[in-house]
Amino acid sequence: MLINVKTFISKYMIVLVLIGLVTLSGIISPAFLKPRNILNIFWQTSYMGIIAIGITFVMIAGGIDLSVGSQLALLGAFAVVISNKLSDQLHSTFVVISLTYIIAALLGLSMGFLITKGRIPAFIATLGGMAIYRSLVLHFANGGVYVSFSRSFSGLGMKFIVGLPLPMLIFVIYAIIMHVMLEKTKFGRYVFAVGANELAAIYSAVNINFVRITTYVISSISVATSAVLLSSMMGSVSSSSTGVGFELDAIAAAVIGGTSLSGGKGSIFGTFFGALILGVINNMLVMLNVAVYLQSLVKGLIIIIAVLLQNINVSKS
Amino acid sequence: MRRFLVILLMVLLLTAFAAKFKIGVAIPAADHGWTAGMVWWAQYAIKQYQSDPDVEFYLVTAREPSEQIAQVQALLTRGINALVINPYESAPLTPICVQAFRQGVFTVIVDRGILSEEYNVYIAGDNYMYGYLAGKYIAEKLKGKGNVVIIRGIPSTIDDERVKAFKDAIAQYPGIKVIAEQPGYWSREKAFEVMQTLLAKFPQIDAVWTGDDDMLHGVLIALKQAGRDKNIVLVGGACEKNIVKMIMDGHPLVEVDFTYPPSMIATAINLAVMALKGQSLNGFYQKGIPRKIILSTETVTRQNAKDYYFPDSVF
Amino acid sequence: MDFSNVRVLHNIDVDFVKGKIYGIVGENGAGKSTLMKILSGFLQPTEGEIYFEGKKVFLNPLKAKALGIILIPQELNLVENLRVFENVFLGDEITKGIFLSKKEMIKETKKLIEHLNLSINPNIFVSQLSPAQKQMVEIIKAISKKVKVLIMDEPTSSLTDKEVSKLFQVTYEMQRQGVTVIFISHRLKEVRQIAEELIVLRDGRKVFQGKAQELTEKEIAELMVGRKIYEMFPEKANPNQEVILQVKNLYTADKRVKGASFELRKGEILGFYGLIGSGRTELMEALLGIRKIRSGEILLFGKRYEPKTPINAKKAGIVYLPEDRKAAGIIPFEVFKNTTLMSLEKHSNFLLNIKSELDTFRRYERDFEIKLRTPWQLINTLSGGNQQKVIISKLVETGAKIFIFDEPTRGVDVGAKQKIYEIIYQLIKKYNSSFIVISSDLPEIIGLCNRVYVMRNGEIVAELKDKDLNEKELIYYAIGVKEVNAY
Repeated sequence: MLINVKTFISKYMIVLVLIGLVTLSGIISPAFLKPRNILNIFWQTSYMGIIAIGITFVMIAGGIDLSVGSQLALLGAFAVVISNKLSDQLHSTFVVISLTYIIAALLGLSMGFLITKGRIPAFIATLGGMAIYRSLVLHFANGGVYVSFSRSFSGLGMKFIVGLPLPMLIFVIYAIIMHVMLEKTKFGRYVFAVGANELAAIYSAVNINFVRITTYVISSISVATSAVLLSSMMGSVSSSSTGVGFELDAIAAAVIGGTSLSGGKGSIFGTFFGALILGVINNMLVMLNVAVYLQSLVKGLIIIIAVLLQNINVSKS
Repeated sequence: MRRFLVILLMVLLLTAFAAKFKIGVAIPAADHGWTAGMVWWAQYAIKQYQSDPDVEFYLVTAREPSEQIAQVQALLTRGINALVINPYESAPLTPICVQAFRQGVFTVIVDRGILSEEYNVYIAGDNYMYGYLAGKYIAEKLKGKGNVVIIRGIPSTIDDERVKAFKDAIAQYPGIKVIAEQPGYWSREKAFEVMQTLLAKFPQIDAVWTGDDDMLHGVLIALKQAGRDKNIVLVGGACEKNIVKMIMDGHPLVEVDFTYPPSMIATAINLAVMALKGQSLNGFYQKGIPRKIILSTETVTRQNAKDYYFPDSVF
Repeated sequence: MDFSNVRVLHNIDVDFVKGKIYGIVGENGAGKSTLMKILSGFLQPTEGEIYFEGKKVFLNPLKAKALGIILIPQELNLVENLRVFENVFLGDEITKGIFLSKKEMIKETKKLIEHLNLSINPNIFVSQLSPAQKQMVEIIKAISKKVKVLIMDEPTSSLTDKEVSKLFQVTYEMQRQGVTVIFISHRLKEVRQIAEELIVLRDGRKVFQGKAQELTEKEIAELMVGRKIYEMFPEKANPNQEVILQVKNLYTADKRVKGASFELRKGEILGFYGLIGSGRTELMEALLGIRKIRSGEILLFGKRYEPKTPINAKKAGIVYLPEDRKAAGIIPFEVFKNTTLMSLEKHSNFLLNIKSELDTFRRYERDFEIKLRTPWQLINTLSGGNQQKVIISKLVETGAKIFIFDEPTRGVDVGAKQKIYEIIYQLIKKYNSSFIVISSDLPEIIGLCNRVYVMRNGEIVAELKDKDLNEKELIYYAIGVKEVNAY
């Protein structure tokens, strides 16, 4: 019986950390617990969270994707520009979304090929991607902002379904689908195998290149989803500041959630809650009116403590 | 004898070509709307000299201080006659700027100062008035009583100066309370998030000062989404073209803006050219270019908005 | 000794005498490693006492080292990127003030090397040494720390016979200097050779201590396992004459295999013997599609076969058990997932059916006698022998026709070894599978295989069978006529 409680705690430690943070914030600032605020947290977290879920696949297979932040700006800008060029109707929004996904898939494929067949280390290739994508976005806007003039496109991001904001619903549904893909499909099993021991996976007749490339496509598709949602809600994409720092937040969310930086370990469940923890922290800082120059300190401390708590359990078991 | 004359002629021709003025322009890379604006204005100003055979420009943008230092070193090696620089950070860039000055390069420091007096010209916006006028405006509009939210930029000395000035202005009105002060990092999305959270926390917000129009856009979206886009005073800053247009068109919430022109880089470039050519400013009895120039913060209202509207600019 | 709620060692009473050579044998899980870790200070006993030179001591790793009790683990503790002398003096560097006196350290190391009649260059990187030489460096390290009790865990698993005798020489030298040597090994033949006194552990208890030469290998094995061991090797099958794999004149692009030609018959166990570096593994890697082939022809079931990738090989019915389990055999996740990794199609319509996977695994758990707590355990927590059985189950699940086993019983205890031989035999009997076995264990390769090819320097130099399949012939062809100087 005692063993069961211990394993329960270690498995769900991250949820306990989240509950702990929420409780703490709620005590210091009751407004934190207002339903509207909780909703906001989910909403605000969705954009980064969807990307974090995609990046989890990449990381479990032993890779990394630093280009997601710039990719977000690039794909968002693409969506805005295309939607402006087409007629302002619902079906053209559908076209815009489809095209954005296609471009994203192509970007993911290219990155995947560079890293597998091209043998360029993932860190370098995606770092290059980060710079190239951002440069492209800046260039075509001359450093300015891409503004959307399409009503139907802008309306998408602000939609509420059954009283919940669309981005939040998509975040949750996406997490569920990806969880199933990772844990309950052949592909998901191979992702773990490739990341845990690449050589053994090769000997076991796993097509490691296919697996790796697909994870980058998944990452880009995730970015596309977030890009469409974000750019439509904001009605614009800033070539200089949109998506900046997202890659670090997404990776942090995955790592807080238990994804190993060296591959072979991770879960969508963990990343989901890791993202929420980051979202709660960001919200806490505003709600508690933490002084400007202390914000990074507080954020950094909480992240470290959250990971430490999880490590304590790992070493015990 | 003939050969000597030919060589002399060639040398003279070469030096004639070399008689062009070389001007190096070093600014930060675009990391948010305003800096993107500065890059655009620098390119714009340089373009105006397209047909001028006497001047040659080298424009470089840097993503961090060490990169900028390396760029300036490269420019100096190239043999520039003037350096127009917006230092990425004051302290690290001071030595190289001083070195340039001592080498006889005409140095124009733009917007962010260096920690030395060894330069030729310093031109910047008025950070103090920028914050002060905004505070005064809000206090008067609220008739001395109300809850104010400050959404500030990337934590930095410039930002600190503005916020302090704002608080100095409202200090005279004890009924004005700052209920929250949070960074929006000069980003639309971040300001949106912060505003959304603050709206959930405070049922009553009377005014929001962002000190930046990019962030103001984010705030507007948050207000609209929460259905609270009425009875609130909004003040941004730096006259982004879309906000200026809103003012021109009589937007109910955005009625005023304050200048902090990214075009100051264009003025700085002009000053450098003028200095190299030995020209002076109109209206001055004294010759030469004034050493320290603080551009005035102008208040933009519905009446004069059209004078501040540059639809082609990126900011 | 207790680990959480499980008692691992029960009332072990042993006296180690100065200057004697002891051999400790036991199945995996018998408690050998635990006992050694306690003796070298890495673990604290829950009950009992340790006396060193008559005085009661409480050990920790530093204290043990200071007393002169040094453990050389199976995987060796050397830093590959450092030089020999740096490794020898790691942690005890000779300094002049704050500077390292490299010259001194090299001099000292050289002295120790010569003392043992070795010829290792103290200045080269450890990564450049052969496994045998690395073992020697570990011993030199121990001597430099004035070792009194030297514990060696499986020191010969990566060594050739010649290198083993060199190790024995060094061991005798240590004995002459009054060092007590404790040898832990699975290789019963060697243990009988080198040890004066033998200790057999079983299930955490000492079941025998006495003169090593008193018992035969079979008797030792039986003590270890606790039951009568029937013939280690099943009677050799009589394979039919049908040739299913023909390799003609195979050259690999990197020239590690030169002009290899051989045949494999259906139902046969074909052996490959040779020294380390002779090209056996490289040849098999070429068949698997891992190593690039420059020229040569391969006929599989009469049809032309191009390996290209392991995926291709698997499709053609060829699977491979790697030499190095840890690096290339196991995937460090749950045990049952390792079993199904190469045959996931069997367990998924659209989604994976975990229950079906577990059922499949349970079958193997039963048939292969895999010892574990739960299929959800991580495979790295299993003993070497059990890990090997799991990897074999993975290969068997693919329904392959040709199994290539590379050193299948390396680092595997006696009980598991026998089981693996049984598995091979059963597969041939039931499914007419064919086996290629690479082995450096002479008794194994002679006892198990119908025919053996010997390789040397990338070439196949002999095919031995029937009465020619004996130790003398195998070694003769493996080494060649001239003696090879290993050091």
